[in-house]
Amino acid sequence: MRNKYLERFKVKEIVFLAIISAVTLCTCAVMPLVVSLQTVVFGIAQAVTGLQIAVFYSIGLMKIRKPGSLFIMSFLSGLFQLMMSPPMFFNNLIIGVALEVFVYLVFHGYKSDKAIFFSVLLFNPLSLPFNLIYNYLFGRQAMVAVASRAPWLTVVMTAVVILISAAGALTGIRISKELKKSGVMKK
Amino acid sequence: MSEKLQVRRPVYPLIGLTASVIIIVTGLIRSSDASSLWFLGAMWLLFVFFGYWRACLAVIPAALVMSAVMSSVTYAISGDISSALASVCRISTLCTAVIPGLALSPIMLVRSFSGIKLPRMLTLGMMITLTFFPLLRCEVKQVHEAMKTRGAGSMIRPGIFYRAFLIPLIVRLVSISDTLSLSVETRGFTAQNFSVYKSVKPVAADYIFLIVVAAVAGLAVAL
Repeated sequence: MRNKYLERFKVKEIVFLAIISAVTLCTCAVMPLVVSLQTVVFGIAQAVTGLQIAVFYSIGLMKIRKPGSLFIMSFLSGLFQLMMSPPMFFNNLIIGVALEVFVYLVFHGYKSDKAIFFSVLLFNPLSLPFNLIYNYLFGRQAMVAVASRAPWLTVVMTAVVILISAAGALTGIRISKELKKSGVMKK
Repeated sequence: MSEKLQVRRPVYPLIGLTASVIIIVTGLIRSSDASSLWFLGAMWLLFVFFGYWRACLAVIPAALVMSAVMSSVTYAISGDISSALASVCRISTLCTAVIPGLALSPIMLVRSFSGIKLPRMLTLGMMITLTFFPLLRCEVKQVHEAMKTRGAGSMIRPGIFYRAFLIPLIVRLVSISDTLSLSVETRGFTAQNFSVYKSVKPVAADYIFLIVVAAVAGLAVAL
């Protein structure tokens, strides 16, 4: 069944999604520079990677509007993280699956731009509660402590992450529309 | 995954990945205690023993620089020496855990995934994602050169960055994607009925490696 689901993708679609994932991964390389600040500023990692993820994922989804595209991109981006930070890989996988289900139930696929916008908008902010739960369950609780130490900062940073993701998603959709209009990006 | 750092006979890729996961989980659990550096040192020596010395040497400068910067920033913000030390432990954990990945050739990883019957389309995607970075660097350089030639101005300005850098880069990515998929298809790539050119299988040494990593990690958590 898993194979049948994936067979619906053509080679050129997988290639495009893989390239977009590689670019996303590359542009997110700034994240290790702020990894230590995670215990001081809530959501700093999501804030510095939100724009890149949203821009490139929305471009990927605008071209390949098939169920599973977001999951494939999150899996391929997460692959490299598996060697550096396994929680981030599982975070990507779980959020990818959750958003695919969300898009299927609410928008019935990625046919509308609204579905793409909301799925990309939610991708990065959703990793905030996931990280909180992970930290809470596995004992370090550093992130939980950071979130509760300065609640106003937690709220501000969450809003910043959502705004950055929204700006990125809108930019990605705009770029894709421009490229489609000029004939560069075909279906 | 630089070619210079690759080992001729690396540990079986999936065992290497498991070792990375064990190291990072143990390192993070013990990061509040400076004695976790002993565990990371032991892991580093184990990697040297298994032939990963190039990757082991390559991570040292990165670990030193990142630790110095991050611990200074953490200390400046929190004013707590134990937080700064924990930051050093986390960076060291990260740098130790990436050693098997640094010394692993992407083709071996993909072959081992094909060996465990992972969907062919996913292994293709993985291969492209993991090997695309040098090409991307080249493309970024070319787009930047083109910007300079046209006198487009500074990339710091969002308008110029968007119109003169981002759009041309994405146009190039779309073009590369089309060429690459055409190339893959003309070479007869199919999702079904495929064979693996050289199958990668674990040997006894790989299992010994994993047992030693698990044992040392278990000791580090227990003590």
